[in-house]
Amino acid sequence: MNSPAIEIQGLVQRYGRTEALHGLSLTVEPGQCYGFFGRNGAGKTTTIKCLLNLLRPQEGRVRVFGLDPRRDEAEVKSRLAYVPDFVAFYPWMNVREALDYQASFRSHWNRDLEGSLLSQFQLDAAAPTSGLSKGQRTQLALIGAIAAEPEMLVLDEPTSGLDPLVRREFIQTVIGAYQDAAPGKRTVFVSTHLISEFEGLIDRFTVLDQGKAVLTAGADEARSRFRRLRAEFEGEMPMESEFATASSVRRQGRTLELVVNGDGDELMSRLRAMNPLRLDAEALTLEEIFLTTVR
Amino acid sequence: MKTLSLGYGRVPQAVWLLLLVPPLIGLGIPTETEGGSPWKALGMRLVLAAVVLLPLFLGRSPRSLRLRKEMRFQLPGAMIALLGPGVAGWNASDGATAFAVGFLLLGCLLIGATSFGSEFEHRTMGSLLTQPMRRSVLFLEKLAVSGFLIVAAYLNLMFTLVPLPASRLSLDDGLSVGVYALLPLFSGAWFSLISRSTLAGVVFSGSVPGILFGLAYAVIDGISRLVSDRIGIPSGTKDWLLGFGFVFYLGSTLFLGWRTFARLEVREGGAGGRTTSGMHPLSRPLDQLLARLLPTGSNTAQLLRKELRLHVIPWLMTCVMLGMWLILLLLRSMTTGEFRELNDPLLLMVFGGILGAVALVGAGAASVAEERELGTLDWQLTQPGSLGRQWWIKVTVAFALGTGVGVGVPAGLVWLSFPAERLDEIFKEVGGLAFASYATGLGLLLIISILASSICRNTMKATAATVGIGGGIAGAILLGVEWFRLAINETAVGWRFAEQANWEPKIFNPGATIFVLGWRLSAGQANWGFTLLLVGFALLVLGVGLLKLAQRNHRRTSIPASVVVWQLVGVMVVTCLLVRMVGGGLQGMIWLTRRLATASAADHLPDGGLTAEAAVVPAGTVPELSRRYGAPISSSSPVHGVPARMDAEMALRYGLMESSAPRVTPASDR
Repeated sequence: MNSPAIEIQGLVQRYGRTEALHGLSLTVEPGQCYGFFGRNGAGKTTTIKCLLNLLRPQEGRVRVFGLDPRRDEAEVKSRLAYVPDFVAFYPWMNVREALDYQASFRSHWNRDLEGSLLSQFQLDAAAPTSGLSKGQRTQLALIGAIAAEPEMLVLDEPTSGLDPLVRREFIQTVIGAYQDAAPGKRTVFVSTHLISEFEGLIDRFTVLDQGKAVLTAGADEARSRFRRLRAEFEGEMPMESEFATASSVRRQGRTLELVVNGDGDELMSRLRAMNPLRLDAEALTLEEIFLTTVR
Repeated sequence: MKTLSLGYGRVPQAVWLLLLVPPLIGLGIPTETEGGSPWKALGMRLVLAAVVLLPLFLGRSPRSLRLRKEMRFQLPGAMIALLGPGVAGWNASDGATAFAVGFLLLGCLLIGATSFGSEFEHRTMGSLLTQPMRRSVLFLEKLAVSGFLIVAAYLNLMFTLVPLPASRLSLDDGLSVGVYALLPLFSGAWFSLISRSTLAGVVFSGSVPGILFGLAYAVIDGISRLVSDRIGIPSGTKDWLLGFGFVFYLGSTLFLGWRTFARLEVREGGAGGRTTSGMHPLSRPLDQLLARLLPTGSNTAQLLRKELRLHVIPWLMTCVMLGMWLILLLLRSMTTGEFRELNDPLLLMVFGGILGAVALVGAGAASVAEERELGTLDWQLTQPGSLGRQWWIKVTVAFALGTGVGVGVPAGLVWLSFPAERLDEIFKEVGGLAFASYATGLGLLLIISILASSICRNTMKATAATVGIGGGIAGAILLGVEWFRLAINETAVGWRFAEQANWEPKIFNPGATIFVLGWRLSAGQANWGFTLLLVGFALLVLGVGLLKLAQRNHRRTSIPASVVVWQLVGVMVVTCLLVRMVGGGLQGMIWLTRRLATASAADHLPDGGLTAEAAVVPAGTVPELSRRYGAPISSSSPVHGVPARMDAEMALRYGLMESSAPRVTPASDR
C-alpha cells in the first residue's frame, strides 16, 4: 500500500510563548487535491513549513511520502514543489535565468511544459525578475513548480495577487492539467483564503482555527453534511431556541434560515411538522462551510 | 522597485569582465622581481587572469548554474578584494600597500558573510532551503565559491605587490595577510547565519577574532603569572598556544556555521513567526524607554519614535563598542606590562573609530532603505502629514544617532578609559584643523550614506553603495584637483614670465625658481582662512545638494536605474566642477599672495610690497631690461621678446620713466 502523501500527528509548534499549532493531525492521500483553510494566523504557513523542514516542530510527527522531512530532506523535496505566499527571486536574474536556476536543482524538468506555461501566462523570458509584479512573480513561481512535474504541489496562498483571469486559468487549467496528467498519483496541498475558486477541485480539506483542526472532511461529504434549510411561515414563527442543535439560525422577515451540520434530516422533519409555506434545503459551498465552522 | 544594483540585465555576465581589471592592471605595472625573471611574474598574472575569468566559461550544467549564482552574489566583495590591490599596483608605495591590504581584508570579510547573509536580504533563503538538495551540498558549494574568490584575491595581492620592491610587502608579511584573509571564509557563514545579516556578519567576523585574541592572550598571561612570577611561559609556548587557539577558532566557527545552516529554520511569516529578521537588539527596553519619553498623541513624537526604532546598526554598534570596552578594561586589569598596547588610547580610538564609522554609515544607510526593506515606505508616503517634515525628522534622527553613536560613544569611552594627562599628551599635537577635517569628513560620509539609502532597496545595499558613491566622490575630487594642478602649472609659466618681465630682471633666474612650490607654500602659510572659506563653501554646496537629491528620491516610490545613473554621474561632475571652482579661487589668491611676498622680499623695496592695485607702465622687453642691468638673456630663452611692464613706483626709482605724469595702467587690467 502506498504511504500517505502527508501524514501529520499531534503537531505542536511554538514561537516563544505563542503556540501556533496545538496538536494538529491530518492525512493526505496521494492523488488528492487537499484544501487547507484557515483565517490569518491560524497556522497554515507554519504547518507547511514543518512539512518542508523549514521549521522543526517541538512535538508531533510529520511524514511526507512516508519519509521524515528532517532526516530525508533532499528526497522529500525532490518529490514535491513549493510555492510560498511571498515569492522572491534573485534580482539580477531574468525569467529565463530564474527558471534555469530552479531547474538546476531537479533531475527532471519539462521544458515544453515550461514554454507553454510561459506563453499561457504571457511572461517574457527575457524580463528581469526585479521588474515583475507580485502576481507575475507568483506566476513564475508556479511555472517553476509545475515544470518540475513533482509528485506533490504544496501551494501557500497561490492565487493571492493574481488577477481574476489568470486565477481562473491557473486553478482550472493548470492545476487540473497537472493532476490529470497522472491521475491518482499527483497530489495538491493548497492553503488558501479564496476557497470558492478551488470549489470544484478540492477532494478533501481541513479547516484550521487557532492552531487546531476544527473540521476535516471530504468535500462531497461536507456538502452533504452542511446544509442550509429555509422555511417560510405565514403565521406565527417558531422560536430560534427551538433549533439549538443547528449551527446557526437566522430570521429574515417571515423566513427562518438554519445551517445544519449532520443532523439536517431531523431538523427538516421538525420544520415540516410546523407547516411552513415553503421549505427548501441546499448544500453549502466550501466557503460557507468554512465560515460556519470558524465563526 | 528598481534600485541601484550591480545587476547586468540585458548584458548577462558582462559585469564579470570588470574582474579582469586588476590582472590587466597587473600586466601594465613593472614586472621586474628581485632577482627573478620578469617573465615569471608576467606568467603568474596571466594564470591569475585566466582563473578570474573562469566563471565566464562555466558551462550550463546544473551545478555550474548554481555556482555562477553564488559567484554573482559575491561580486561586490570580489570587486573590493581584487580591485584594491590592482589599483595599488599602479603606484606601489607603503601607503598604497596599506590601502591594498585593507581593501583585500574588507573584501574577504564581505565575501565570507555575503554567501549566507545575502540570502536573507533577498528573502530567498526560504526558497533555497525548499530545493531538493542536501544542505551539506548547498553549504559546500557556497563555501567553495567563497574560498575560490578569497584565494584568487589573495593571489592577486601577492602577485601584484610582492614582486614590487617599492610596495615593501615582503613574502612573510604577505603570508600573514593570507591568514587574516582566510578568517572570514571559516567564520563568515556562522556570523551571518546567526545574525541573518551580511553587514552584521562582516562586523562580527572582523571584530570577534581580535577580541578573542586579546582574551586568549590575557588568559595565557594570567596562567603564566600563576605558574611563576619570575619565569612565566616561554614566548615559543605562548605562540604555540595562540596558534592552536587560532586553528581551534577556525575549526569551531566552521563547524558552528555548518550546524546552524543544517538546523536553520525560516520563521518569517506564519502564525507567530517574525515577519522580518531586522529586529532590534534592544527592542523591548528601547521601546519602553521611547514610549515613556515621547507622548503618543503627538505626530512628531511618533515619527521620532519610529525613526529611532528603525535603526538597527547604530544600536548594535553601541553594544559591540561597550562590550569591547568592558573587555579592554578586563584585559588591562589582568595583563602585565608586556601587553603595553592595552594602555595606549590609540588602540581603543582605532577600534572605536572603525566601529563608529560603521555606525555612522549604518545610520544614514538605514534612513530610507530600511523602510523600503520593511515595505513601509509607500504607506508612509501616503500619510496626510507633510513629507518635508517627515524627511527632516528622518535626517535629524540619522544625524543625531550617527554622530552620537559614531563619534560620541567612542570619544566618551576613550575619555573614560584613560587619565587626562595621557589624553593631553596624545591630543596636544592634534590641531583644530585636524578635528574640523575629521568632523567634515564624517558629516559628508553621513550625507552620502543618506543619498545611498534613498536609491537602494535595503540597508545592506545602501551601505555598500555608500562606499561606492564615497569612492566616486573622492575620485571626482582627485580629478578636480588634478585638473586644477594642470591649470595652475600652465598658468604658472605665464605668471613666471610676466613677473620676470615686471620686476627687476637682475633678481630673477628663470631656470631656478620653483614658482608653483613657492606659491603653494606661501598660500598655505598665509591664507588658511581664505582657503577654508572656499573649501567650506564647496562642501556646504555639495552636502546640501546631496541632501536635496536624497529628499527628492525619498518621495519617489520607484527610481528607474537610468535616473540613478544620471544622478550619480551628475554628482560626480558637479563635485569635480566645485573642486575646480575652489581651485580657481585659490589660484587668484595665490597670485596675489605671491606678488606681495616677492615684493616684500626684494632688497630695493624695503618699505613694503606692492599691492594688487599698483599701477604699471610699459618698460620695453625683458631682454632690453636685462641688458640695462648687466644680465643679458640668450636668444633661446623663453622670455626673449616678452614685453616687460613695471610698477610705476619702481620705474620712477630706476629712472625708466619721466617723473611727471606717468602713463599708467591699473594692475588689474594686465
